Parts: sequence; C-alpha cells; structure tokens
Amino acid sequence: MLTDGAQKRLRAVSAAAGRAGVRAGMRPTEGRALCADLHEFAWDDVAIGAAIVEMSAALVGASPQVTPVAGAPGLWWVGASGFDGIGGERELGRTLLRVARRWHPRPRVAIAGSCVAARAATWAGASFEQRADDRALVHVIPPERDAAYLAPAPLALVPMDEEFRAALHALGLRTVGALAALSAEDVERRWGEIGLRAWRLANADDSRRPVLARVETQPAVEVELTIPTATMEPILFLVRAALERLVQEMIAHGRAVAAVAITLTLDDARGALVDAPAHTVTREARAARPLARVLPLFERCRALLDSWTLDAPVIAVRVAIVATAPLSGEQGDLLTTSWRDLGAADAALERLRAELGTGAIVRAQAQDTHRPERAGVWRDLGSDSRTVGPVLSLAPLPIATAARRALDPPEAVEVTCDGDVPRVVTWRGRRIDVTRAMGPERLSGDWWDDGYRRDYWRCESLGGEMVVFLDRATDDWALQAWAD
Amino acid sequence: MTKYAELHCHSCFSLLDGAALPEVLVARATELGLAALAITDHDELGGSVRFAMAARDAGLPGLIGAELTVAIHGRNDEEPLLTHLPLLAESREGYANLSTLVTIGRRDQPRGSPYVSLDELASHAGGLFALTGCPRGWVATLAERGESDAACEAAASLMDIFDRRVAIECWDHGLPEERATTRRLIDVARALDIPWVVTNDVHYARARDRMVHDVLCSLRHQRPLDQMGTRLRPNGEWYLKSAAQIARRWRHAPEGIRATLAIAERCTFRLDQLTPTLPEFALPPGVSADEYLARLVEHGAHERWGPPNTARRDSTHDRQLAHELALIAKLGLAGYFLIVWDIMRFARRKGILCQGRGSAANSAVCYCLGITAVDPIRLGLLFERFLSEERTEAPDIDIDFAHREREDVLQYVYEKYGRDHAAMVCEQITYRGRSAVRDAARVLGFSVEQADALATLSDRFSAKSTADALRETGGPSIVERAGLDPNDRRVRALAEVVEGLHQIPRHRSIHVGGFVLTHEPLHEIVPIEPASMPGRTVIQWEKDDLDPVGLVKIDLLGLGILTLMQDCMLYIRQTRGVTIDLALLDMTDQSVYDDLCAADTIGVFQVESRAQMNTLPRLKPRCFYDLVVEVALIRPGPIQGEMVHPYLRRKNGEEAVEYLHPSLEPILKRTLGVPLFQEQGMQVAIAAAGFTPGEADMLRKAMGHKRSRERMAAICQKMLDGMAANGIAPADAQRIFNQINGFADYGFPESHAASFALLVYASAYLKHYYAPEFTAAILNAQPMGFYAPGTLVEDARRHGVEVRPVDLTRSQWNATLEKVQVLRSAQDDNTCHVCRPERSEGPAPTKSSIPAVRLGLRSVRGLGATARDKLEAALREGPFTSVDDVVQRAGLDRRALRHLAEAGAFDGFLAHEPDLRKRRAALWAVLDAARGDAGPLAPRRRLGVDVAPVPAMTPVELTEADYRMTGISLAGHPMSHVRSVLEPNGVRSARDLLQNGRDGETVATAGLVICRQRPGTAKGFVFLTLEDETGLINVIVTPQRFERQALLISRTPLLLVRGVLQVEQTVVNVRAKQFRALEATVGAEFAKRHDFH
Repeated sequence: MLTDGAQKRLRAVSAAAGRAGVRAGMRPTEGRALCADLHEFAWDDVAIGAAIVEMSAALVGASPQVTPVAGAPGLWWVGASGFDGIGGERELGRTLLRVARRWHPRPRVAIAGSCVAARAATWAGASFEQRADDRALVHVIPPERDAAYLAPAPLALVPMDEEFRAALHALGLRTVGALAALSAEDVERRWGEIGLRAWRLANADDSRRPVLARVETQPAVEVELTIPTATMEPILFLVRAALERLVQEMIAHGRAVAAVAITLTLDDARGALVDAPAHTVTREARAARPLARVLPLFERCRALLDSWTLDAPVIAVRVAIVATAPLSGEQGDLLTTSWRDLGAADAALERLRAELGTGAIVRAQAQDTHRPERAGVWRDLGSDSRTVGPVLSLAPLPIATAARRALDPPEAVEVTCDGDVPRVVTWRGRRIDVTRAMGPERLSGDWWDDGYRRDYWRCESLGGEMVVFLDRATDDWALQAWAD
Repeated sequence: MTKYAELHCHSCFSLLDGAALPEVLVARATELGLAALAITDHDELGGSVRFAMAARDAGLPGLIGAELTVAIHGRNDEEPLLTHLPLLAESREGYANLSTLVTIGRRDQPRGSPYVSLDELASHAGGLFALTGCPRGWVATLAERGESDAACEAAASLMDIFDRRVAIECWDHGLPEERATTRRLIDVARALDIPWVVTNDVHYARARDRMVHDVLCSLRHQRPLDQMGTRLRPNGEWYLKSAAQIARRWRHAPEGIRATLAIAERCTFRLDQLTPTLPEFALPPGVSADEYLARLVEHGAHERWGPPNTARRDSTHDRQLAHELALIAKLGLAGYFLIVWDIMRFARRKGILCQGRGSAANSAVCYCLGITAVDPIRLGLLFERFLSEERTEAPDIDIDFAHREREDVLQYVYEKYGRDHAAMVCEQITYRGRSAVRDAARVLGFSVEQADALATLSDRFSAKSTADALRETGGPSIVERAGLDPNDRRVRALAEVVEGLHQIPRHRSIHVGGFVLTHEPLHEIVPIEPASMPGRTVIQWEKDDLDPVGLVKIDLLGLGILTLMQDCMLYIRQTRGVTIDLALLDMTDQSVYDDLCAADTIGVFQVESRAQMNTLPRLKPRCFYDLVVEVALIRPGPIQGEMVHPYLRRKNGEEAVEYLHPSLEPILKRTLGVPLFQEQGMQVAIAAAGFTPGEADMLRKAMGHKRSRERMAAICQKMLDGMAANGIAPADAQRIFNQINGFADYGFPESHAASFALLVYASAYLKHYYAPEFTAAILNAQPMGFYAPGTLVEDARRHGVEVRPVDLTRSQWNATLEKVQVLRSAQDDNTCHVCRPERSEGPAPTKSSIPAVRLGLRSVRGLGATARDKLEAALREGPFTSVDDVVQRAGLDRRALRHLAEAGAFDGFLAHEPDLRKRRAALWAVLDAARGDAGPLAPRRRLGVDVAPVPAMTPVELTEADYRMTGISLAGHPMSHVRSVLEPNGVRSARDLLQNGRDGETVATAGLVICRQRPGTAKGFVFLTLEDETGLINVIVTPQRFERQALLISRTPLLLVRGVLQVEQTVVNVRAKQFRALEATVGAEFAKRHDFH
C-alpha cells in the first residue's frame, strides 16, 4: 500500500491487499487490522510524477493523443480515432496494453465514445453483469452506445460530488441509468450545476478529450563520418551539435526530452559483407527527469559514451529522441541566481559517480548529540545510506588551536593517572607527558542503543592538545582527537 | 562524618521532568542517611502530602518547597526571561505564601506555562527561603553568560525581596561548563556576603532511573529518543547522592555543604501544621450550629418516622439520633452536616434529584436530613463505619445528583463560598500498563502499530505487572507475539522503562466530584488552578491527600440514573397524574422482584450488565436486602475473592453455611458466611487476626485506596500472623486473607450497596409499572447505562411499549409521550399535531391510557447542538406544517435536512405516499425546498404535487436507513430480515434457546453484537451479547478461541455462532465453538455497541 504522509491515509493498495478488504482512504492501522503483513510505502509525488511522464512518453508511440488524468495516477486518456487503416481500435488497445505492461502486470484498456464510458469499461469490461474475473483486458464499446452501456453501472463510476452521491443513494438511485433518467430540470432544481455536470456524464455527455501529443515521429539527427574514428571525441562533438538542434525542436513542440538514443555504426567485417546490414550499436541515456536543456543531457550522453568501448571505428552517428514528456513548468534559466540547475548538477554528480563508483558522493551533516564521534555524519547524496564520518568537534570542550584531528574510531591508549587525573599518555608506543589536564567531562547515554559511559579529559602537552576518555564500562582509555 | 541535606529535589510531580515518586525519594534519602530532604517541584505542590507523610513515617526532616518559574522583564518590551527559583517554606506563613504564589502563577497565566513576576514574588516573600536555582535560575543564567555584575545585581534583588533569606545555589554534574558557572556563582556569594549552598538538582532517586527521566523528557518534547540529541541531559548524574559523594566533589569548599544543614534547620514548617477549618454556616440569630442541626434532624425524623414513641419511631430511633448528634457536637462537625444539607436543599429546590451514598448511609442523622435515602436503623447499619471518635479523618459524604443538572450544583457551591474558599479535588492520572507500554514504545522508536500491538497484548492493570509480562519467557512472549525480537536491546529496555513508569503521574484531571471548602483562603492551604473544563477550579491534591492535612471533602457526583428517574417521575406526573415519592416506595412488591429474578433488567440501574443478569436468576432476589447483596456481589472484589459462587450455592441451599472460624459467625451470618462488604472485612480482621480497630481502619483505607495492592500486600503478613496466633489453620488463614484481599480490587461498603440497591429497586419499579415513561426518560438521559438506544427500544417494544418514529409533525427534541388516542385522530384526518406530554385525569392507568413513546429529534444522527437550538426555537413558535415550513423556519443546513428525511422525520407530511416510498419522496421534496430560489436562470419550482421519480424502499432498506440514521428501527430488527434464511439452516432465535434449549446440546444462533466484554477478572474469557428480534443471547468465548478469531469476533457486527448450550436454572449461555460473519446489508454496522469498556 502507498500512504500519503501528510494525512496518513492509504492512497493506493495492491490487488492482493484489496482482496483482503483494504481500501484506499483507510488509515494504515485499519488496513493492518484487515491484513497484518501489509507493506507500507510512502507516497512519493516525484517518483510517481516521473513514472507518469515516462509512461506518457511511451504511450505516445501508440497514439498521438495521450493525456495523463489529473488526480488519478495510473489513468490515461488516449486518442483512438483514425486507426482504421492500421489495425483499428482493437489493435490500438493491444498496443497500449503491451506498452503498459512495463508498469503494471494487468493493465486494462477500454475504447468508447466518451472518457466516462471508457473508464467505466476498464472496470467492468463487456457489461456490469459480468463477474470481475471475466473482464476482458481490451473492451470496445460500439459507437453511440455509451449511455446504454453506462446505464446499469454503479454510480461510483461517474465522478461527482460526494454529497450528491450520498443523496442519490438515499433516494434509492443506485445506477448511472437511474441518474440519467432524471430530468435535467429536476436535477438542476435540487443540485444545481454540480448535479447537472454529473447528470451529463451519466448520459455519456463528456467533454473531456485526450490532448494531441505533438511529437509524432522520433526526431533524430544522423551524420556519416567522412573518416572513420576510433575515439569518442569527434563523436561527442557531433552528439552535442545534434542535441542542440533536437532540443530546440522539442521546445518548439512544447516537449521535454526524457531519453536519448545514440546509435553508432561500426566499420567492421560484418558491414563489409555484401547485402549485410551495417553493424550498429544503440544505447540509451535517460535523464533523472525530462529536460529541455542541452548541457545536462549532453553530460548524460558523455557519461554513456565514456563508458563505451569501441570494437571498431565508427562511421556514422545517429542521435534520436526516443521519449518525451510535456514541457514542465519547472524549467529554469541558468543565469537567474535564484534558480538552481538541478539537472545540470545531477548530470555532474552522475559523472562523478560513473568515475568513482556509487556512494562516492557524500555531504557532511551536523548531528545533535552529546557523543563526540557522532557529532557529524556523511550522508550519501544518492540514497539514504549513511556512513559515520570523523569527529567534527567536541562541542563542550572548545579547543583554541587551529586544527583538530579526530580518530575514527578512537584509538586505545595507555594513561597513567595521579588520582583520577591523567599525567602520561602512551599512544602508538610514544610517551606523551601531560602538562595540564582539564576534566573530567562525564558523558553517558544512548542506553536504548549502544550505550556509553565516558569521562573525557582535555590534556595539554608540549606537542599539542589531546582529548582522551576513560570508558567507564570497560575501564579502558582511548584517544578521541588531538590538535597540533 | 559529613552531613548533607538535599535542598533541591524534583519528584515525579514535576510532570515529565521528575522520575521518582515522593515516597521513593524519601526512602532513598533515608537509606543514604541524608540530614534532610526538600521537595521542590516545578510550580507544584501536588506531591507535597505524599512526600510529607513518607518523610514523617521515615523520621526524615522533609522540607516543603517548590521551584517557581519567575518572569524577569527586561528594559524593553522584549519577551520576559523565564527563570527558575526554588523556594522553601520556613514557616506556616511561608507555606501559605508559597501556595499562593503557585496559585497566582497557574491562575493568571495560560495553562501549561505558569509563572509569577518579581512584584508578585515580593508581595508573598514572607517566611520563604530562596535558592538561586539551577542553571536556568536568574543569577545562574547571567553568571553562565559571564555577566558577573548583572549576576550580582540579580542576587542583590533577591536579597531585597527575601530580606537576605537567600543562598546562591551551586551544582556539579561532571560538566565543565557547570564548573565554570559555579566558580562565578561562588564569587557572587562572597561579594554579597550571603551563603552559597550545594545541591544536586535531583530529578530521580537512583542513577539507573535516568532512563525513565530520558523517556519522560522525550515525551515532553514529543519526539523519539533517537531524535532527542542534546535535549537529553548529557549524563545520569541528577540522582540523589550521599553526603560522602557530595563531600568528595566539594572537598575543597565544605562550607557549601555545611550551609545545607543550616538552611534545613531554618525550614521548620511541616504539613501537619496545617489546620484547615470549614466555612461557617450562616445560622439564625442566637442559635448554635449544634442546636440548628438538632432542630433540622428532629424535623426530618418526624417526616421519616413520624412522632416519637409510635410504631414507626421507637426509643431505638431517638437513642441513635441522640448518640449521633452528641458525637457530631463533640467532634465539632455540625457545620459540615449543615453545609451538605444546604447543598441538598438547593438541589431539591431546583428539582434536581439527589441522594447520598457511601458510608453516610450508615447515619440516621444523614437519613433524617434527607442526605441519604436508606434507613440505617431498619437495615442495622453500623454508624461507627461513618463516624467515630477513634477515626482520625473527617467523615466522607458522597452525594449523587441527576447528572444533567450537576453543574448547577457545583456552580452554586462555588458561588456560595467563593472561589478562594471552594475548589474541586484533582485526580492524578498515572501510568498504567497500557499507557506505559504505549508511550515507552513510542519514544523507543517502535512504530505506532507495534506500540498498539504491545499495548493490546499487555492487558495489565499496573505498569509493573506489564513489565513483568514483557519479560516473560517460556512460550511465545508478548514481545514475540507483537513481532519484536526479544533479544533486541530496545525491546529489553522497554520492560525496564515500563517498570520505571509505574505510578508516575501522566497528567492531572478533575476528580469525579470531590469538593473541598475552607474557612481560610484555600490557596493558602493548597494551590488552586483552573481546570481544563470551563468554570472549574481544582486544587493540586487528590482525594487521598486530604485526610492527612485535615481537609474535608464532599463528593458531589453525577449519576445518570437519577436524571432518568427524575424525568420518568415527571412524565408519570404529567401523563397519569401520579406522583411518586421514592422514599415511600413499597419495597416488597413481588412483581418487581419477579422481573429482577427473570433478569428482565435492561435499563435498570446496576443490574443490567451481562454479569448481573446472569446472577439474578441464581440469586433470586425477593427482598430489599437481596438487592443489597446483588449489588455488592458482582464487583471485582468478591469475584476475585471467589465469593460469588459459594454465596449463590449457599443461598440456594446447595451448600451448607460454614464459617472458617467460629469467631466469624456473628460477622458473616447475614451473608451466609461469605464476606461481601468492606465492613465485614474490617470485622473479620479484628475477630480473626486480632487487629485493633485502628488497624482495621487502616485495612479499610487500604481497601479503598487506589494504590491499594501495595498497601494490602504490606498488611498480608500481619493478618496471617494474627490468625495463626488465634489458632486458625494456615490454609484457612490464607483463604480468609484472599477473601479480604479481594476487596483491594473494589468491594462495596454495605451502606453504599444499600443506597445503590434502593436505586435498583426504584428503577426496576418504574420500568415495571411505567415502562413508556421509563423508556422516554432513558432515551432522553443518553448517553448512560450499558445499552444503546436501539436495544433499549427493542426491549421496550418486547414489553408492549408502543414506540413511534421520529416525526417532525409531532416530535420534540427529546422523546415525548403521546396518548394513544391522539395518534388515532391524527391518522384519521391526516392533520399534524405536536403532542407534548399531557397531564391525564383519572385514577389508575388502564390499557387505553398507557402512553406511547414518540422518539425525539435527538435520535437522528448528525444533529448537533446548533441544530438542536434551531429546531427548539422553531418548535417554540408552533408545530411544523409542511416540508417547506420546516426548511424555512428551522434554518438547518442541507445535510441536517437530509438526515432528518432519511430518518423518516418528514414522513408525516406525505400522507398521500405509500409508506415505503415516503422517505425518498420526502427527501426529494426536501432537496427541492432546501435549494429554494436558485437564481433567475434556474428552473422555477413547480406548484402542486410533484411526483418523485424515486423507487420505494424495501423493508431491508428501511431497517438499514433506520440504523444508519437513528440506530433504532421500528420497521424490524436487522435479524428479522435474515430469519427466513437462517431458520431452515437450523439457526435458532434467542427466544427459542431460552424456552426450548437443553443443557449440553449443540446449537447455532446468530445476532447483532451489542456488547463485547473482556473483564480483567475473567482470566481472558470474552463475553458477547447478541441481540435478535426476540431477545438477547449470551455467548462465552474461551481465551484460546478468541485469540484464533479475535479480529472476526471483535469487528463483525452480525455474528453467527455455533456452540454448546449451557442452561443453569433459567440462565442460558452459548459456549462458542465456531464463528461466522453474517453478510447482510441491514444496517448492523451502524448499531452502537458496548465494546470492551
């Protein structure tokens, strides 16, 4: 199940959870009461938005009119007219299913004269008398039959105001047909425009339509090299130029680039055979999100090409835009200081990861804790995983000297004391006389985790300053940090 | 040897900042040999009595103090600096000032952030000694910032305010920044020539309690421990330390330790110096309180028993009255009785039904004053249980008022005595098993679901026993069943934390009805603060704290049954012209006892629960005293003491009446050798264990004390030893102790049971003879009692009461009574009348004059206070005449109108429609009317009859709508719609089981679940009550079977049960073997039920 963090309600549940009675809108505890081993995932608008964009782009390959339905992730209106010459509506439906199966194991497609009927048909298939498991995955409602088809459908399948729906239910009107049978006048007198809108939908009078997607073919730039090249530099040059052209073209169509395919034609023995097709290799570069800026796209392509080992010289390069998405309103101007080009930053960081490995990019973060070695942590930028970094400071014992070296983990030392007070510290075989010891600072805590009980001392010596502690649980001394 | 007094110590009454009970701190201080200990909670004296009593018992000088929050205002208009200032009471004057300051801080500032200003401090500084406080103190804050001059000025200001009764406070918890601050603080002290003093700013008793303190801090900050960071203290040094530990740290400056002793010696105030007195009662000129009381008593005696030396009033009565009055005079308590009498007089003047209960019912004076309704002489109740010279504490009078009007009585008391002299008693809500495990799990980072699961599985009364259960090994433990790893460090810590939270206060609430009144300003005795409820003020002490300081409490309680009876008697007077005086009821009416013997007691006070209904046919009450026993018998005390079945067997002659020891016979004779009442527990202790009356009284207090388990355990050995000395065999001694110990889990005093038995009889009487009025009254008194309105109405209809639906042409907000004839005429001519309760003429009720109950508009769900006001205002202008009339005059929103229509309230306006179409046609019309003139372009409303294009309802839909909108269906019980399917499958009705069921046969039955119970005394057994159209079915579920199908049993509204019938006399139960959910859309899911309360 996916939960909305703000309201802590289930926003979507899997089919298995649904079979156990778990429904969207429930609280997680209610869901768990019905199905104890539910797995909960946070609703991630960014990830879901990205998936919608990606699937929208993929669906465009089947139909030029693709519109993700606002407020209903997982539902798309797709234009289905004009397909008679290429297999008809059923063939379109099958194509859409093929595309959608990448995201869902059992997608459903329905084709109707109105969006409302099409949506209802995805739920009920041929008719509302059918059993749920008999649903056809592609169902086509004959032309002009939408209203008749909808008549036995439950009211839940027509979008309407909840209060209106409850009133209809109380009146004993349980089907779309019963609503449709009311007179417009009666409906308007009781529920006004809200009622009329739903009444029109009940009569399959739906003004909603899929929007035309402007990109009908894969835009591409293809260049043949006069001299075969065995290095990537000339190719990078060509890719950049191609991207500049293609991105401009996309922007003119109001689209952003979701994926770029680079096809290299190799000059090897296979291409030399008579009638044999040229040996081509295609790889795709995908940005973290659809972009309409050249630089981050180019960085992704560069990362792709850098990791590409050429088996033979390249004689032709083709750069194609294979997936697009509607141009996002978040596009910004690099020259505007308030705007940060996250895409470009992503691209740069991606390159670093490609070079240095995942987990190589971290950022420092201060922690609110009494425990010195946990005062700072490194956080991986790419994931939630974390690594404990070296000590940043020992807050209660400010040390005036310029630099402090922290030992992570602290190293065992031998300490000779006068009473409780350290006098000599022996570290790595080196004896250090303590000229002044300040302390102890008694720290303890984390008893619920890996508890600690320590007495810290700040020890000055001729060579600098040390921070040592006595672990009161084990009676061992350790060096935490030193400054020189 | 160094001596040390700890002068700064927080108990758990520093809410969420102190982790030790006052008694624990005292015990630890005694163990450490401290010279003295002060309690200094944050703006609080709530723990002072417990602290003072524990210190007195331990022989430890216990100083009373508090750490006040003091606002220091800067030169500009910036936010004031809130600082801490511990104050110790040197004298009675100092204590009065301290209590007043806490009152001011709490009264004048927003709830939860009390503080006082320096001016207020200066006005109430007499008799107080000030320490400069922790690092959040005014002086310490400035010293920490390095502002030594400002720190000196601040200290000098405090010297001025307290006339040099100030010491600079220093501490060392092993932190360098503290050491730096204390160096500066000592400099300040030396500069000003005032003492400096060592404290440890204690927040818990032992070092290991630090974990509980951390947990409390996390709860205060509302975040898990993992996210607390530096909000937690850096180490665990804030515990009570010995003189040697303190001396080791401060060996270079012993004067700071010596100063603690000097201050402790100055603070000589102890709480037993408080001697509060009651307000003086305004008396007629020249009459003393004793005389006036005697006059009132004589007047009352005449009313109750008639003139002296008559059949009803012989010398016994007058001797008893004289004895009681003499004792009251000797103890100087006449004023107290007059105050209580005055409150009762006010209530009666206002027509508020009221009755005293508790031990006051042992007093003939209370009976004659009208405070109680039980004749103690007739019942042979022991006056000394209420009042005696030996008893050290004040008498305790509990009065029940009709709960709807109780607030009027409370406000009368506030107004009459003034808010400086009257306030309610608080109740400290402490951690118990579930709350402790839930909060501990939350801060330890377990998920909400895990915390819920642990809390559900840890169904234990005390946090300590919950902790033990969490540690249990062998078999699947609670933690494993909750899906946790028992070896996980946090899981192990959980048990420690839960144990540490045992009895720690969580928040403060208002006692159910305890009031204290004083002649002197009450805030000089105990701090008063506003309660969360508007118009209420409470003191910081709870009921157990009052006796030790001599405060007298009067319990002014609310009781739903009195509201019910008050209304019921009013309706009877109005509809039948019959006036009922509860005091004159014939208590021997066998037809009333017939109902009780048949457990026909739905709605009857105290005996309507499932357990009581199961016991009634076995106990077969035939006289008033049987009811007294019945009331006392089904209580956790007798149940846990295993006294119920022996008593029932003996009552039915199935077992010989035996006494475990001959000395017990005179005490237990009238309860057949089984101790049932608290008084008997006391008398048994005296006779069998050789307790003195004083010790027996201690036993009684332990029995009634909310921390009684611990107290009773302490008394256990003493009793066993005493019984052994009297030659009672160890096994018998243990049985006797177990019976007495059972009272620790609530047993009733006999007088209290008698007071309640009176209400049992009265309510059963009213139900038997005036069922329609009783039904209307109980519906109007909701929420109260055990059953939902739907069940009450079903029961009333089974008793022949005609219940009529909600109808806007007739219904008022509350349920009303209609004459049967009125309805007939209304039906005949289709005219609409609002039928208010009328006074009927004529003598005894006849069948035709029995009124019908008209459900009130309050039955309709979703109509709140606003809707009520609008409807009542509209109804005052006259009855509604049409749908449009309702819409226009009531001014309700569409949603409320829709609810009324769906509930059938508009049906009366649609006489032309078939019954099953009325509601929908009405809704159709209401929606039209409610929209009104929707604008110039909207279609105009049609005149004349508008035929609604809506289908008629089916009977099932009608029931579903009834349950959804009102929880009451007059169209048929949900089960009646599925009976035709169930019957051929062998599923039997409640009536069939009751009339034809045979013990041991396997049966199937089904019903609407109206009650689910899992009492703490039932060892995990679950009891269900199912309701069908013919009656109720009791189902018993074993713990194992419940565990297997807990979800189904706990959530399914309609349940089909297969099991074995148990028939014992006329008591029928089904011992369940299998459960199935009945899937039927009949509105069962909307029925209200009594679940696990």
